[in-house]
Amino acid sequence: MGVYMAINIRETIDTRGLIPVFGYPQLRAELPRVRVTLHTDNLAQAQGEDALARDWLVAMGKHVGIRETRPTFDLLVTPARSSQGTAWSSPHALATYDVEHIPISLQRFYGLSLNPNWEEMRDPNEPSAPLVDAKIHQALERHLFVTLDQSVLNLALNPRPEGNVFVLTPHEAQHYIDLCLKAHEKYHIRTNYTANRSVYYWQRLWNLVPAFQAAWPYTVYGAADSLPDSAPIMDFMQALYARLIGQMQACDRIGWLRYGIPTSDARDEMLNQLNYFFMLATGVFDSLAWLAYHRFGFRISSPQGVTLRAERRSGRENPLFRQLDTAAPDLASFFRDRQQQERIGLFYAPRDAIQHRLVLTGAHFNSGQAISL
Amino acid sequence: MTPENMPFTEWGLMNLSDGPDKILLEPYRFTCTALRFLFPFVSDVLRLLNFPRWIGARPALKEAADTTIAFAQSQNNIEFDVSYPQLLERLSLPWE
Repeated sequence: MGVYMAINIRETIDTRGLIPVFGYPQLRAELPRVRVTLHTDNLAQAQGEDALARDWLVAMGKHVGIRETRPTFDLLVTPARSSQGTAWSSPHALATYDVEHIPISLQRFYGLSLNPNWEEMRDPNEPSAPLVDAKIHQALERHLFVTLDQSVLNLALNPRPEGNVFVLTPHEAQHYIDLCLKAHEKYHIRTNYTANRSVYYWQRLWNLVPAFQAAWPYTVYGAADSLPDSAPIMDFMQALYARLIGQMQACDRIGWLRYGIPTSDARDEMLNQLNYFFMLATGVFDSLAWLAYHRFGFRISSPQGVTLRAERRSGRENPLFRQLDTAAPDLASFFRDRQQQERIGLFYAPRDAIQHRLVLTGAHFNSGQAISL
Repeated sequence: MTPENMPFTEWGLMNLSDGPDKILLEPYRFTCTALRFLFPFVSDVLRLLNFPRWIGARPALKEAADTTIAFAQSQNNIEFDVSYPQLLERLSLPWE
């Protein structure tokens, strides 16, 4: 088995044998200006994760990063009509609709809707205040309206002659903005704390796989001191984290493409990412199988036997599991568990199709995208 | 278990009626659920591989590694504002 190392050599290597870090064009990705409108009276009542997401949106909408001249995105709030809305929005001092820019056709209803008693006063044929707010948001060509009001959320689902409105709950909007920022190379760990992509995903992995924090230094020290099989253990630990990080990046890319217009370009890229995701997933299982193999110093005649898939040709037992039964019975039971095997199998079926038979193909749905095998 | 109003399973999979081997897969739902399965799975396996016992054959080496782990854990307790991978929003389909 070979270990391949990729190296990017431009024209010169400096006297220390390193690739120079200077002499590159300083291009910067331009972050699109997402225009977000928060539905003040409704969101003032938000609770739990939606309240946290609302506050995050406000913080991000006011945050100006280093070497930036304006906030991360353009944030407006709808006018407060309720005492709750006023109490929530006033301390934040957020801008609301500029009356001068509201289309004349909407100005009358806008003025009327500012009356706190508008809901009781209005004729059933006249628009509610939330609907007036959403219409103005749309007329001002803003992108994302954030509310928990179901009547406004439903607007996003109905095709409308004047165009659809993109409406999300605060929690969904937080997710959307986070995906948007990552798609444009802005990796926010916290509102005022960013990292480059490499550090961001490494830190994510560090948080999401707590046992990795402990296992990694052991393998590094073991390799440095030439413990038995420590070199391949180190290699497979590196392969494991590279694959998991690759999967996170593919997942984020697919998430961002999901919110885009479903063009054939978007479909092609999503399929590429999905194909790659499956290969990485089964690669993660392979890394774990080989880690177990080297950790316990097993010897198995065929590399095909080093797998987490229990299913073998009839009458054949998984040789890795058989050796684990003695060396690490808890791990053997964990791998043999029927539910674990069902989930592992869920990745191998499409992986086998991609690798040996057919690639995944795409299909469109009205409400999003779906991929058929 | 697929709720009646949710044609896709939690994994974003849906069998089609025109063929038993035809499966629709919603990519983002699948990849998010896959990661939610994989992270604890990998963590459990790494724990069961019991690397402390492997390196324990050399106590001085284990002590040095333990010191590094304690330091790394104290430095890497950064919390993210946005959870990952995300649970997805409601799914509305024409036949609902």
